[in-house]
Amino acid sequence: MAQDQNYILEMCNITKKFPGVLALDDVTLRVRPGTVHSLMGENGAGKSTMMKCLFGIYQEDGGEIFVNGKKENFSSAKHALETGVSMIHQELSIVPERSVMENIWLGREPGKKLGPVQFVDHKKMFKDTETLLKNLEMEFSPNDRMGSLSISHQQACEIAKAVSCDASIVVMDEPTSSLTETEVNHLFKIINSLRDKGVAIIYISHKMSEIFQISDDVSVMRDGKLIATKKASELDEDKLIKLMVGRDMTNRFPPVDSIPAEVCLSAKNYTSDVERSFKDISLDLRKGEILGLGGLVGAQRTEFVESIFGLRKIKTGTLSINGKEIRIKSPEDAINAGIGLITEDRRGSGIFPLLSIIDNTSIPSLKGCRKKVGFLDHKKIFNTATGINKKLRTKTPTFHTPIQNLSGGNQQKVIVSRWLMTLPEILIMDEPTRGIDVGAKYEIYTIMSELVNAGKAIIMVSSEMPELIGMSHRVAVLCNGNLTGVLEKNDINSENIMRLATQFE
Amino acid sequence: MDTKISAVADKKGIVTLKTIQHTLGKHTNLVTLVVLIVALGIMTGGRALQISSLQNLMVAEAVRAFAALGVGLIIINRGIDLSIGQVVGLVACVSASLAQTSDYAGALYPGTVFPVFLPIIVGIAVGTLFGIINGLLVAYGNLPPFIATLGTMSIAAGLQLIYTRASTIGSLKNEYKHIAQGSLGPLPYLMIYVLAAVLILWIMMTQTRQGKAFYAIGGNPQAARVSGINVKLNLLKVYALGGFLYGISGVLLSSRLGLANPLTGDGMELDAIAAATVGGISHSGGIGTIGGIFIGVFTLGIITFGMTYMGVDSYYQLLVKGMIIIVAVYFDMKRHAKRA
Amino acid sequence: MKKLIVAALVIMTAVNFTFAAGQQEAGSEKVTIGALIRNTDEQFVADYAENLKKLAAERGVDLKLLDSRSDQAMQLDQLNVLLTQGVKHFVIVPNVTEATEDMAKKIDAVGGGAAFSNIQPSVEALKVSPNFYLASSPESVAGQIQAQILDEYFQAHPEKMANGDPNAIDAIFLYGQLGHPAQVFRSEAAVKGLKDAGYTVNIVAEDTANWKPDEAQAKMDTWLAAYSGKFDVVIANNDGMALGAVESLLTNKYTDDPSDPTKDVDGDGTVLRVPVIGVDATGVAVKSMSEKKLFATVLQDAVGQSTTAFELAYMMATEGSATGKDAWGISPLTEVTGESPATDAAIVGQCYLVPFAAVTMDNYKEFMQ
Repeated sequence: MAQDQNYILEMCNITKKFPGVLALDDVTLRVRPGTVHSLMGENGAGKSTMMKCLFGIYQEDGGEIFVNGKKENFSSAKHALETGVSMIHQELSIVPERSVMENIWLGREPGKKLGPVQFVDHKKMFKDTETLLKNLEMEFSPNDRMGSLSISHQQACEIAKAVSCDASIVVMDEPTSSLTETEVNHLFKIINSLRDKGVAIIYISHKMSEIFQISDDVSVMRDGKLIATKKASELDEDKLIKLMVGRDMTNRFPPVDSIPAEVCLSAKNYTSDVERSFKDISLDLRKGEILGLGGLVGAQRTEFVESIFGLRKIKTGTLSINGKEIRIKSPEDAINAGIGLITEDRRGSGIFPLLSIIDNTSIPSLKGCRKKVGFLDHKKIFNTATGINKKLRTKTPTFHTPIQNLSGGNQQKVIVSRWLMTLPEILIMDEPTRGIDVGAKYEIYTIMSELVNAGKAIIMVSSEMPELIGMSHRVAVLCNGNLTGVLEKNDINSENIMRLATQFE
Repeated sequence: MDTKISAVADKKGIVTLKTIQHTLGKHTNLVTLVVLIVALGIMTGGRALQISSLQNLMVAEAVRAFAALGVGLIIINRGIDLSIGQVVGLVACVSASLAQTSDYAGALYPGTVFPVFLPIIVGIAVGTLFGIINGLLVAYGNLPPFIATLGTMSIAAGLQLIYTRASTIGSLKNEYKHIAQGSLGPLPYLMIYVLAAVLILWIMMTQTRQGKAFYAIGGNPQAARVSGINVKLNLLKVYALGGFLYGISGVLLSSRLGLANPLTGDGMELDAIAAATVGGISHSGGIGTIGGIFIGVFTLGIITFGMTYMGVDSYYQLLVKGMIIIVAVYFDMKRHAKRA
Repeated sequence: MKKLIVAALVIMTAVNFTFAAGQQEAGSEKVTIGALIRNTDEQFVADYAENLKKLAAERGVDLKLLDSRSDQAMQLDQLNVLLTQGVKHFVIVPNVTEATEDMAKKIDAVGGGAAFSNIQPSVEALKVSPNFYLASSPESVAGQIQAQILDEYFQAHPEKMANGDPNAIDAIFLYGQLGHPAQVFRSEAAVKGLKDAGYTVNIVAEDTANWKPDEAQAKMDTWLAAYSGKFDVVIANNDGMALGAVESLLTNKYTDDPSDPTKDVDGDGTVLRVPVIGVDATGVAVKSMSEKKLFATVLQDAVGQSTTAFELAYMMATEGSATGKDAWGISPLTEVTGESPATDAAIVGQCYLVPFAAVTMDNYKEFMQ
């Protein structure tokens, strides 16, 4: 294949399969030198998989990568860096207790030989760093402790590190997610100066305004495919959103035909204890209703629902259940108030890997399963727990099998069973179908539909647009900790959700 | 494996199934113990295996068993306790000082007659107090358990020296010594205490909400919290329970020795942790049973007993003990790795 | 729970199966002696154990020697095991005096006897039966001898008293592991001995160095910075720590002649400005004395004690009793002394005091190997 010298990076026909999923489907991405190339798409569109293939974290199943016209196949981020391809991650990889210069030169410290022994040349390291920082107009010293710098300065260090390796391609993954306005401007100044030096920047972000402010080219990905690459000047926000969400909606959802009744849960003025988290959120939930909670990664949806459940502290806010104001200070309070929470991170805070399905199901409900002296009523526990699991069609050899032996979908059903066993009136489901296969997804949706038909209420946090659209009676959207809008049934569509989800100011 | 179990379970129901699965899970420990017993029998031509040997073994391991049960529960909750030996020693000293014969001139409280139950109560209270302090530091102070208990270990060691003025507390009342030295027919009291404790703790861990909460916290503290379990309070409880058991251990130790000094209990934390570990308590938390700890204690006990019986130099005893611990845990880890 | 029952059943079956075999164990012709010794990490105890093994080999005795690693609970377990094996006669280096009575009672219950060394048994222990003996030079004697040596030194060199008061000694103490009987008895006796000799004892500094030379050296370095010129003597619970202190004094040039640390300028028998005194008379310690570094030490006669104890146990095993007989040429006491347990007339006949020796500049050559 002839390579066009106009491009500094070409990723041609990249395909990546995961069991049951085609994560990247014949994607071709071309980046010109001296440009900022934005990569856009919904959560799960394949942006980060693409970058992971570039850096050799994943091995692509098909396709080729060319840097400067030369075929490359990086085995690690270090390998990529040596070839001039660098990545600034969303989660900065710094050593906070060491100095700026030590961080920048980590693993490739300039050396000097003293006889047979190689020493670190601290003087040279300091000088080189000083020059580097001056060229990038950064106002901190090479000797500053990394941990003492602000996040934006830490990020600037990472950029300096990339520059120090003569990187010709720098990938930035959501670099502004934790920056303030002025910090963003400073970052853009650095990006512009890099671009002027001929560096290509691949910029991954959800923030529309930034995209138009900084990009030369924009590529949009959706469902593992590259939809389009266009000049930023040819696009506007509406066009971009359409490119991002314009998918055909096939019938992947059971009918949700319950009719919401009276309000059963009402949160008012919920503000987090933590700065930069959610602020002043007021929401109502009705019996028989599925309330979708949409937003981008970092919109603070999980933080909000976990606060309702008493897992996180709030600074202000009141909560009423069935019109009665109550205070929830711990999950125990929430459970007693008839609330259940299926957490987003099934492994981290959902399952007890080594415990059986019975134990995993019954743990929050043991209070009601005791005999006179306080001994557990094993028979009752067994019957109730297996009954619910059978109803949800949890597939398992026996109900005494450790939950870690089950598939993700079946684990999720056990977790749902756990909360059904507490007989909740309100169920909060945070990413209820994350990481489970399509068949199991449908079954979870069916359970949800049955629950609301029985008069229960569900808050469903989801990053999957189709799920929000297909399952919700209403969708509330958060952006950057603010409630940017609540969409009624007729207004629920991708464009509206995406607009609210990117309404940053 | 699983399908086989299910076949049995479907026919016989819940109790059998649970037992079989638990037994299978911990099979290696029991096998190790039986192998060691048989090996000892062969090596001594059967002479080492007599009723009196069993009595010796029970008596020798009883005090350690209480400590191992305490720390075993803590390890199930993803903790660790290094203060055991010194707390047991402190409890032994305090309880001994309250059980000295009143006419003994060298007594710490000469001429004062304390009731026999006083040293027991005060001793157990001291142990529990240390457990509570450990629990508060770990659960509410968020100190790593290793560090918190390292601190209390040193504090307990210091208090022992201060309280005893670095001397031995001897001449204990016969009634007090009888608590640990007496026997009911062929059954030493110590054996009865241990069996009772094992039974009670076994019931707690398998038949009550408390036990489920401990296993849940050890298995996944975040998930436990989401499930409405008060993780901090339960951590406090388990350290306090540990301290309570060390308290019993210390009282029994002073009663059994008929004395206590600052060296009493030294190094017991390592024996107890080793026993719990050999008994299948995983340091990654959430795994292990009371029966397992019991077997672990007796596995190490039979090694000591056997080698003492055969007159093996104590230097080699340390060597062999170390190797048994490593081998037992190696196979345990392997088994869990395979499952995960 | 089921598992526990299974475990218990397995053990029980094994026990029952072999119970008969256990019963059939016949006493062999060989004399068996059990030796329960405190901890061979201590030089004295190690020498004691070595000599026992030698004696047993010479006499064809089956010696069952067990080391309790300083753990009284373990010593008790070991006693139980040996009793189970039918051993009746014992040589014991106990961990603590207070434990001896209970041990004696257990041995007496099977009609046996024992000789206690190094740490003295209680009066009550010897009263259990006439078959229990003391074969020892008690720990406190080491302290007493240290006091005697120092008394002689200061009488000869009153000018070496730091504060000018010939009746007040300013001492630095290096203790062994706190609470260890040797630490307690040696220290107490040294202080008491000096007081009995008419001195006031000011403890300038005191701390444990856990028997270890390196810890002692570090302690001494610190103290020298704080108390230079303010102390008359360094008293250590063993030679190891004494030598650590000597090393510190040498490196800090706390010598008669700072420019030549081999010169004993004032002729007091040591090149150091103050005398340092230990216990044990180990090989290195005596060598140090030959270089006039360490001033003095005390010999605890491990060979003498172990031979006496062994002979007592051997006589009991072969002749049924050792009462009134000499052991290693030592006769039992006939009169009470001021030293426990030989303070009770009823049992003085069970006490064999092994001579001990001060190792000073006058006689150290006798102890060089």
